[in-house]
Amino acid sequence: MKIRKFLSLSLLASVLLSSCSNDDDINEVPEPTGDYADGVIVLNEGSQSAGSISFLDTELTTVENMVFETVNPGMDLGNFVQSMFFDDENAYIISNGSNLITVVDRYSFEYKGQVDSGLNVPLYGVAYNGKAYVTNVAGFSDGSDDYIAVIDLESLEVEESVVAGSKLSALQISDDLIYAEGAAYGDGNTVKVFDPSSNSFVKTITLFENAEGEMEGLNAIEIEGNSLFALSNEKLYKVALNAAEEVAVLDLTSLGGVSNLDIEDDIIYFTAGKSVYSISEDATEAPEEAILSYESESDQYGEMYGFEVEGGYIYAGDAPNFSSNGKVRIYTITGEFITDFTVGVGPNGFYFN
Amino acid sequence: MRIRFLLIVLPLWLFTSKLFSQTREITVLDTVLLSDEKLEKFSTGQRVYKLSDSVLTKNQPLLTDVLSFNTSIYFKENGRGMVSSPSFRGTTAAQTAVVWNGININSQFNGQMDFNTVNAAAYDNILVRGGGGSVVYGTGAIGGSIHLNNSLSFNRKQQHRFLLQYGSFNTVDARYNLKLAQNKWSLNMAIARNSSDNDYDYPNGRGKNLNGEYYNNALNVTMGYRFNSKNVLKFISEVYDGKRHFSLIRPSENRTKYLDFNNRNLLEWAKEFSDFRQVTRLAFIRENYKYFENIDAENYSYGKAGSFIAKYDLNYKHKELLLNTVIQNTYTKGEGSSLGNNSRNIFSIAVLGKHRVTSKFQYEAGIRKEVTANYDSPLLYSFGADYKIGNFYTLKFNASKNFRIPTYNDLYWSSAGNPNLDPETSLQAEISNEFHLKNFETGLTIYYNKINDMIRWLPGESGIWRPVNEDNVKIYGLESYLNWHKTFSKDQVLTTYATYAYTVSKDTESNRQLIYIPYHKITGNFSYNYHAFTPSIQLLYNGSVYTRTDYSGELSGYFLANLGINYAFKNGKLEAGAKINNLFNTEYQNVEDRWMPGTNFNLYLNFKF
Repeated sequence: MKIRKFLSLSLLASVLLSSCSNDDDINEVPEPTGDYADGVIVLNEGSQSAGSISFLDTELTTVENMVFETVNPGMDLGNFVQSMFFDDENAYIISNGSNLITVVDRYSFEYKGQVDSGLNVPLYGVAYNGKAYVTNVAGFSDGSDDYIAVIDLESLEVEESVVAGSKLSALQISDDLIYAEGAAYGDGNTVKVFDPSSNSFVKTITLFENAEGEMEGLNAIEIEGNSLFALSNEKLYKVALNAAEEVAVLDLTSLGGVSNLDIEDDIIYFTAGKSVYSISEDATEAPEEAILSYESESDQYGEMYGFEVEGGYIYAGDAPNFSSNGKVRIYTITGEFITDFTVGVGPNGFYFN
Repeated sequence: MRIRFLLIVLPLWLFTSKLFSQTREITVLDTVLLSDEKLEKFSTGQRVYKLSDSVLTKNQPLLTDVLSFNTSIYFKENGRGMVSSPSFRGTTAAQTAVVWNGININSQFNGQMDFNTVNAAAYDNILVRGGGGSVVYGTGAIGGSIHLNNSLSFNRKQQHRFLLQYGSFNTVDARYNLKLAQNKWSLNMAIARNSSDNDYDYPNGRGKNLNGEYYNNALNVTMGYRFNSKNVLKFISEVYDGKRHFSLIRPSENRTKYLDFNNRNLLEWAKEFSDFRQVTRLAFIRENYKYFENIDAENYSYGKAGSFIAKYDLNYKHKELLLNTVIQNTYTKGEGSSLGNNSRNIFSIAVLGKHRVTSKFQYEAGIRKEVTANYDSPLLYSFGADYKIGNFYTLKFNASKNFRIPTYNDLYWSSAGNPNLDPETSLQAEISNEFHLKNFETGLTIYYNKINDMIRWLPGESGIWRPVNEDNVKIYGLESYLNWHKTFSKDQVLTTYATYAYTVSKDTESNRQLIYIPYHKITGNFSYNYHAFTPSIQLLYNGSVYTRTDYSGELSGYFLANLGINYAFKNGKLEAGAKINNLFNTEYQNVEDRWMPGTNFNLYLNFKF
């Protein structure tokens, strides 16, 4: 009896334990498998022909170009590969010249499907609760028709298009709200707040107004903690994401046109021309010295076409003339050159697996 | 990414000692007024190749097709019927001048001519001259010039011609030509329409050419009135109206369309007195385009420009000496979506002289200077000589300095245009050897061309692309041709015309071949006239081209053959024929991701009465 009781208890326990360990397995991030599970993904925009993906291993020793074409022979990603976004399993690759989002397994890059209707010059997206939210330029002439496409990630169909009434590009998600850069191609002055529960724009944060002849325009946003950082070609704005929405402004005009914003470990990184600068999150003055500057090479254009800071490294993409292969240069965050790789045409973004 | 937008909107290129064409031409004893006398008088040291009327009717009407199969000019064509730009002797798209009845008609906006917006049926003949010609024709005559000419005859006649051609992809080519002349009056009218669904299948199940349909209508009226043998008034007016949808690479892309509306008018009065001949010309040239980035939307971008040209040409001929002064003023007013409203005035003076020293040796020289507030204009000059050695060999030499001026887009594009641009300049020289035997003619030209300050759009501060005088290019190569016709009997004639060109065109800094310029190009046209039947074959080989400046992309070369048969009815009034294009169903792309059609067919009827 005792034995039986023990057995049944142990059986119960083992059931409980095993179910616990099953739970653990579910909660624990599974070890990603796939040839590209660990490393740096480089998006190459492409120019006259389709864009492509390059992959750097974590040790930054080798590069593999044309990853998507290698894994999926006979297919390509479309023209002007603009950006990509992820959910747990998949990567969604947006090509704005072909109105396409290609869905692949984020660790193996195996093709899983595509969104090929309902898009009109798509730029950036985020995945949230089984849906994707993707900004679209539509007509280039003004922002009146820019919209967010709401995509069901099961069916890969656009369910709804929500017109913003101003230009739109990069997206950030914070506290169940989506923050859209109310600017595209460096033209625009707002951040639009989109509520995915109602599929509507609920708020517009206007950061500045241009007087006649002024050319200030937003080119990047990022949310860090309870603050929204927005970079224009002239200034850095820090908006408190609370009811009061206090805005702090840091004038960067002394550096020339600034772009590319990335915040990593409480340090703000951005670029001006061929240089990378950093400041602390509550700096009140523009930095004087760059962390690094490129050597001037007369035949190099399109510097800093892609820019990202991650894991102690600065990644910079160079697009020499958009009709030849680009280059990725990697530096430490103190500006020490590590290595470089030749990638596809127009490297414009870095993502990390 | 602003650049994408720019790239999308900015695309969007006679006298040899004997004239000949690939088909037999009967010398007509006729007072034919050439509309471009300069070409005849001042081409010493250069070769002028004439595509006669009969060549034009046996080819597809779009100028790209005609020139691809008959000359050494390479075309970069964005799919069948789509935007097409030339590379003549290794130069870039804006370095070939297109001259309409003596007037340069390259676009004010991008300096190029889209060769798929010219319907060859509107002209009596088309002439092609390789090498520099800026002294006479102004901007863009660097690689060579293409001359679209309408001629007039004052011999009493009434002639109607009607060509109807129908082919694959619902392609229609209809042309009507009327020549009406009395002693004092002459009228030459051409009406042409070309349209196509252009929905061909890509090879190997890669899909279909979607959104590629196009049409164009061309009307040309040339009128002349002869007061007396020394006083002739001429008026030419032309309208071109074209609509193209730009074909897609992938079905999900936005469908776009492009409308062209061009209007060209020329009034010309030629008068002779003693040893002088003066020609006064007034011309008004209008170009107009609309680009719809999405055919479902109303929005479009546009450009329109009008040029008023006044030209006075005084010619003095005394014995073997010919002197010529040309004074020209061109006033252009242009506007466009991203261009604002701008005008520019260019005044030019050119002096040319030619001396026929003996019946075997002649030379010419010319200079030209332009005055404008827009750019610093260099002094242009040219020198040419022909030397006939023996009965069958002619040695030719030509050297010149030429230019290509900055365009409206280069100068005025909003927040990107660069008002400080200089013209591109070219210094070049060529030597030609020509051999003439009874039915056989062959020639070999070698040339060298150095082009400086090439204008290129490059990304600058904050990602905005701006034009700069950046590149220098060295080009050398050879052009050769072979022309042979043999009459076996009264009803059996073999005609052949073939060309081969070798082109090296390298950026001086990288020492790499420019993209989309093949090292090799071969064309061949063979026809065998057997009684009423004339079977013919056309061949084209375009060598491989680089698609990336670092040689990381390449398109392989391809070989095309067209097979045709023509039947001439006995009454001489009707011809009927058929053609198989791309006989071997070659899979080829002329531009990356732009597949061209496989084997396709057309049938035609050609009436003349």
